[in-house]
Amino acid sequence: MIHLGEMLSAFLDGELTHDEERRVTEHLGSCEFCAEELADLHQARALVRSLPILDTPGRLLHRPDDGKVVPLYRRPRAWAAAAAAALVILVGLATVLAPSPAGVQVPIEDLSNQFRARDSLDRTFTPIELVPVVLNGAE
Amino acid sequence: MRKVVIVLASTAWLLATASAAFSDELDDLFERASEAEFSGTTFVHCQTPEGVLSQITDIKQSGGVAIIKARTADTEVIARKGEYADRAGGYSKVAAVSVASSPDRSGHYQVEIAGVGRELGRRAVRLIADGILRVELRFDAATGAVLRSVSYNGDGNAYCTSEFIAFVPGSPDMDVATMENAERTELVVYPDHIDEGRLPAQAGSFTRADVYGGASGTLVAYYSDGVFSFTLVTAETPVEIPELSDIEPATIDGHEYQRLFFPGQAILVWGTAEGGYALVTDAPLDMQTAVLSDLPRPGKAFFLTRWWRALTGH
Repeated sequence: MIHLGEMLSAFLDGELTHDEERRVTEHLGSCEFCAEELADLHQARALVRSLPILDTPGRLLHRPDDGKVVPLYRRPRAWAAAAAAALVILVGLATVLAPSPAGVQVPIEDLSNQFRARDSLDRTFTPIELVPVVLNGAE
Repeated sequence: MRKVVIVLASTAWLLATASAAFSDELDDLFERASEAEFSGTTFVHCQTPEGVLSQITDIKQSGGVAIIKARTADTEVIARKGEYADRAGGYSKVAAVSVASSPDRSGHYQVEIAGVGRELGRRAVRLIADGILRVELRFDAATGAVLRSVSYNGDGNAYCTSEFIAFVPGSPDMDVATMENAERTELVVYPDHIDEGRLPAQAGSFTRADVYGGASGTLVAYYSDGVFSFTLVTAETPVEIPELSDIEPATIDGHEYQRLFFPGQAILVWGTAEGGYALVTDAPLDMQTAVLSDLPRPGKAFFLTRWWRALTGH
């Protein structure tokens, strides 16, 4: 069976001729599918009609005085973009160039010898613990 | 039932006594080793992530003092209880510690001492922690000297081995004169409250034993598990060791450290958001990793903090 499809919408809008209306009505009487579709379509339209009507924001309206249409998205002003870019660069530079505090220099021999001096109080030195630190001289 | 309880209690008491006796026996062996008189040559080699490091040293010991000279160096070191000194060309620099608390060895290590006759007539000692062999020592029966020592990583591989390749019992000629007039740096116990965040009471299996005031406002903490140990130097600014500055960082547990190995020692340096650290230790590799996981990790202060410190000086 051929169903009515878009003719249902035209039927509800009263855009059909007399003859077309009669054929649609006859079809609906014998086609349960199209009858249900018509009911759904009707209900959807009723829901849309029940929504409140709001005023259109002025910035969306065409202004005949200057002949310009204000877009939904406004580009940031050039100075703001430049300021943001400068800030990013500044923070980046500050991070990279942030000075490391002056360190404490510890001679490696002092570090090693202090460890061995303290370690010797716990127990005797074994030969491993007696090996001197030799810089660039290990065999 | 009563008999069973008595037998179990007696067995437990005997085991406890045996363990304590072994520990006492080990202390006696160490004491005797420190008083041994001998001269000789040792070969030390360590398996490190940077390859095998080795050193041959001439060593002589008498009267509780040891003088050691590396074959590749002009300097000698002199060691005795609480003092360790470099000596070169009649000049000597002594690091000294006079006050210290004693860590407990028995808490971590099980001591196995093989009887005389089972190891070529020498006392063989094995120190085991959590079922892992960590140290083997071989003592000379006649003098008491430690003839061979091996430390092990957690995977069972040897970390450092030291053994005599020539050994002469008897009192050698000792020249310790320059030690008495040397430049002396003595660590003094730090009396104030210790910031547990910077120097935690526990790191890995190690317990903080003492904290000393070091040079240039540094704090020097000594940690020990009774067998291995480390000192940790910390400052509110980076700790810099010039010899490590050009070294490629080592990645440990996903963090970068400057690390340098010497035969028998590892030195690690890193900076944190709060300051800097340097660590020197004789502990095997896996124990080093465990220690680092309990200490502040490497990092940098927030850039505004760094600017503030640069401007104000603190």
